[in-house]
Amino acid sequence: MLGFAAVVCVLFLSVRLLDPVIAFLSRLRSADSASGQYYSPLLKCLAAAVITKLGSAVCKDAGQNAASAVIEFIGTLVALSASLPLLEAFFSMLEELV
Amino acid sequence: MKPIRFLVLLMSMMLITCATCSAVDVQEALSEDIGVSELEMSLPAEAVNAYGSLWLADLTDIPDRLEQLWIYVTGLSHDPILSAIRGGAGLILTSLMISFCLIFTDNRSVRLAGVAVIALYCMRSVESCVSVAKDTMESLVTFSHALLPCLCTAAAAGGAVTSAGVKYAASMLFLDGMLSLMQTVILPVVYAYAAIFLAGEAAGNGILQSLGGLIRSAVKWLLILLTTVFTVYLSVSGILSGTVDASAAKAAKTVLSASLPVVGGILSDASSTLLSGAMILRNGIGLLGMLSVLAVCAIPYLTLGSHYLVFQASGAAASSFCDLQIGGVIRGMGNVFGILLGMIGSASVMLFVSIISLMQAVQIG
Repeated sequence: MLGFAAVVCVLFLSVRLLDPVIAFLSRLRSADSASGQYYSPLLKCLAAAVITKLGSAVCKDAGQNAASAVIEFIGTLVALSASLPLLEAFFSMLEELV
Repeated sequence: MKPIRFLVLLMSMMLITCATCSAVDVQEALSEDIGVSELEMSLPAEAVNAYGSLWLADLTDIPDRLEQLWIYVTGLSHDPILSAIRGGAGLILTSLMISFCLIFTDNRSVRLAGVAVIALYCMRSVESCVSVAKDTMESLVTFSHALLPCLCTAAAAGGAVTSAGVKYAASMLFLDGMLSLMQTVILPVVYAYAAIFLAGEAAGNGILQSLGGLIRSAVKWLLILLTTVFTVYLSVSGILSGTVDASAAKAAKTVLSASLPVVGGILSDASSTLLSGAMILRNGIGLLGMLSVLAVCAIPYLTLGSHYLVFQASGAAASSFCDLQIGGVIRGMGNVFGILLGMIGSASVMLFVSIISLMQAVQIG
């Protein structure tokens, strides 16, 4: 429980560190408006992957391996569903090519 | 009275049989017969834009024409180069974004999404370049249909009757074959290469990646083979038929000047003048053709070349700071521009070789 509390505290304190990163990503997105439309699914994937990793690690620390596996599975599903528009566009492009 | 009567009769007969005789500008007459004005009217739009008007009579100052071409190319080079650089910058930014994502996680779905983003981004440039290549090929073949008959007629009028026919037939066969090959084989194969390569990269399947590489090599060797066969065929047939033409023309001149004592020599000289006029005309038409082909190909070469180089450079850069797989996808898609460049290059080299070959058709002195 103490470990979990420490993780939450560190996360809470480090949220401010994310500001320049988010600003940089927004700049990247606005710098290339053509590919900017593809960045949103990518960022959602990233967010899902990071949250899943943290959640899974916390569960493992607590000895909840089954919960950790479920979180990883759900995280993968979320990442897949977030990148689905991108993958659909990619596969329809492959279909058009063939 | 009798001699006077005879003299009057003789003079009357001479007046009746006398035909009108006047000096004729050989080149002007030949130009009309060959259809040079039709050729000048059917020049490709790129040649008209580059040189303004390209008349055969004004082709004396080649450096000026090349300067006009240079001004045309430098004036229009801004857009394709900028578009390629923009594409490369977009790819680097996207790779940067993906690398950022991969710092946090090595999740397979993030990697797959990254490959999909890069592929979708690259395909926009590929599609615009495919249409450029298609338009250029069609423009080259259409122009060759106007140029080569004219050049062939001029070469035939210059004495190269057999060789001009052989070279014309071979050139048209290969260029038309190249266009249909491009439309029915090479372009679908280019798309198939892109699809197989991307599928291989997305799935991480080495066999699909190798198959993509095999397709690319096959297209490359097919283009090299076609160009080599065409050049060799044109050279060999030109040597054989050129010898026939040269000996036929020499024999005709010898027979003419030997069989008719005085008039034969005059006719032989007149035929030499006619042949020289036709040769000058043939060289002029060839030059006009070469300048037009240069104008047609310059911007597509620049567009495809700059895209190829920028994509290769972006791929190398992405491999260094992002991920080897993402860099590989960019470089692989850049190879599509290489194939298109090779296709346009082969077609233009074939047209150049056929023009030069018809210009060098048998020299009859």
